[in-house]
Amino acid sequence: MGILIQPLLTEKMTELAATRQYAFRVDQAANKIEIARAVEKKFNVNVTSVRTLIVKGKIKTQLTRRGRVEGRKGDWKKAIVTLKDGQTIDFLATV
Amino acid sequence: MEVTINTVSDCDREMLVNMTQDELQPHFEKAYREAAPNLEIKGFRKGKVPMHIIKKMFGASIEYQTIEEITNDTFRKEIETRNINPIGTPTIINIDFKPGTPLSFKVKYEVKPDFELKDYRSIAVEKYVHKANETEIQSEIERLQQINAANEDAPKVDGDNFAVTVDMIDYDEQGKLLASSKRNGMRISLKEKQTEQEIKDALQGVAVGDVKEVQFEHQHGDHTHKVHLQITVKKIEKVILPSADDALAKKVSNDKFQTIEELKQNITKDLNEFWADRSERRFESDLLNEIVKQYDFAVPESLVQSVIDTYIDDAKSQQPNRQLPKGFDEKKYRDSARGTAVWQAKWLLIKEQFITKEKIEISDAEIEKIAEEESTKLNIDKARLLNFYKTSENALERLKYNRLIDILKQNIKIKEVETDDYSKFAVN
Repeated sequence: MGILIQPLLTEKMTELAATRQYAFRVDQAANKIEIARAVEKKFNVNVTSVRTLIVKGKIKTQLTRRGRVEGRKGDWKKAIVTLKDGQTIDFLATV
Repeated sequence: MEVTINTVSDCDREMLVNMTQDELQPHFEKAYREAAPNLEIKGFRKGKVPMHIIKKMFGASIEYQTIEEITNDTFRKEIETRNINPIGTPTIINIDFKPGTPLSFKVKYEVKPDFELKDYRSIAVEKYVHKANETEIQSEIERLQQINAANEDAPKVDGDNFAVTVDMIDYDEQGKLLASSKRNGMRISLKEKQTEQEIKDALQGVAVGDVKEVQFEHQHGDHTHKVHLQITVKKIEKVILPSADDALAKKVSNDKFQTIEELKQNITKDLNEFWADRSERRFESDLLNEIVKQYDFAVPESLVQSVIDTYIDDAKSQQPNRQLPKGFDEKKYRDSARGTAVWQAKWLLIKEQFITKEKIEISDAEIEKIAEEESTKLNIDKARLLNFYKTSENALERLKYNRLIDILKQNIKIKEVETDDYSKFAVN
């Protein structure tokens, strides 16, 4: 699996795109340098900064005949990259 | 926008429309705005998806959907502007569009053919007329005598004035009796014209209990088939006809007529009315045929099909469950009814022009007068008839049609031909 798993296209991230910030779901083992390189290579842009965070997996509850079963979605890593002035990424061009 | 109208035939037209991307854009923008509030994408609240994302993700499908609307709207506006009145259902064909490119499409539609009304005053139509003759009056008297006859058991048939009750059984082709074909207690009147002469001949001189064999060829539609019967005589009745006298006249008329002469006069009057009605119907049919024959324009196919639809609806309405009978071949029926439907469609177009040209309108006062006359004739409440004529489009059309027929009859050349040939009164 590559470093960039999928771009995050949400209301909040669309707003951030105005300041050249784009978010991705990335491999949990990837570090900021690897993420920056992966983005630069894939979208042919220059990354000026990378911020990462681990998103905690949500708790999922299921009611079964044996009672209430609780489970948990896995944690995942989000990366927000900032591009050099004047550069943009069109996620939808690659969708 | 570029619009070209091609004349394919007298009634068929093709409208070709080319629209540039700039002309399409406002329609698309409107479609995006309308679609936006209902779009749901993960990561966005409903209705909050940014327009550029909508365009990127759904643009093509929204545009394709909008194209149908654009073509319909454009065609509608164009026919309104150009005062075109298509008949039937126009069909949009050959839509050529890809997102980001101009749109071109073609609409096929039919219009009423353009034709000039011809002078009908020179038309000459023969009108067959027939006056009741002595034979017909006598035949009617005989029919009344038969209805009022008395029957008396007789041992033997001796002449025409007998009715014989028999059991009948058919022979098969090998000459064996077919038990399943047995019909018991059939009453045969020897005076009846419909009865096969061979049967009548075979029954002459028979007594109760006699068994007779009869063979003859039976005409059935357009073919004949051989019939071989065994007849067993069960009962013989002598038919005693009442005299054609004043007593008969009183009896059959419930004392309305006191003498046979009065009855004969009434029969003559009835027969004359009957023949006058038949004569009028045949004449009307011939007159319309002569008028339609004058025109040689093509009839719109959609009109022909809609006339055939009415025939099929009529056929359905005559069925108990208002469904076509099982095995009814609609396609075959449509093909066979086509000739009549084309004629009918042509007459409808001609009639419409006639009504416009002759400025035929039915005023309220006229409707009132017609309702009054019909009310007495049909014994229906006048107010109900009045309401029917004023609200029913069909009834009003019928009144206009009647008026038109009157005008035509008054203006063409009519040659009355007296005839005893009954076939002349059949309506084609």
